[in-house]
Amino acid sequence: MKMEIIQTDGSYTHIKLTGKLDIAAVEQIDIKFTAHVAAARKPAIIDISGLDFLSSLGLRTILSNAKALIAAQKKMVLMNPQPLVMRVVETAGILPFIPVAKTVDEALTLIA
Amino acid sequence: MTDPAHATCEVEMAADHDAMAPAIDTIEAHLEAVDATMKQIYMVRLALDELLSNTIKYGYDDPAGQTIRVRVEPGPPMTLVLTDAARPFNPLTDAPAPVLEGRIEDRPIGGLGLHVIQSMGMTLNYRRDGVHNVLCVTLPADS
Repeated sequence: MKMEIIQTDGSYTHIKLTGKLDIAAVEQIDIKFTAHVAAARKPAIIDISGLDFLSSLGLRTILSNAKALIAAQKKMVLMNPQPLVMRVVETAGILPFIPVAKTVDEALTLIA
Repeated sequence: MTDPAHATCEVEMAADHDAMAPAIDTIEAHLEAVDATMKQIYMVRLALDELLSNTIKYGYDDPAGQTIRVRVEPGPPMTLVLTDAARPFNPLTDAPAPVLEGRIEDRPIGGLGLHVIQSMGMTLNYRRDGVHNVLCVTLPADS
């Protein structure tokens, strides 16, 4: 599991997750992810195009950070999930609150 | 293609979070060897990540020395059978229902795992066999 910080300064956070976001990966990245997303209290673009597995436990990490941002009147956008990852996101019923974008430009519009 | 007669895979693992990744990786390697589809491999990982972690986290007063057995039957339909000696827990009746409506700020984070498993088309069947929980997870026929 790899967590790449694309941008944390400026007006929004941009992070890319690559690999498998399962329970082991959650333990590995949760503190760092939360420090850069929920604690930053800035709109966040999470590029999950390189995520080939997302479990419900991984989804909880994304969801808990999104909840913190929404409570601070900020938004999170997920970018380019692979089809099976998208299906997990859809079944959780979170798309009305955490939209999905295809491009950075679209994501920037959604978090504005 | 592996001979179907040898395609059932069984792994016994310690009831410990650190034992999950090696066990799941072993099962995934087996599934790849028997030409399982990407969707089947994804679903097996999804179910095991949720169900094993729940059992390890909530199933025991002390998990030390406890083991969980995972069997994968190729089917069709492909079926997972999880057997443990944790306290009785029927996920179909004992798990809290997920909250999927209303403002996201008001929703609890937990409870999503079983909902996601079932929404992906997997069917759960539970029975208590003596001191064991036996949970069968059947993958959808089209996976």
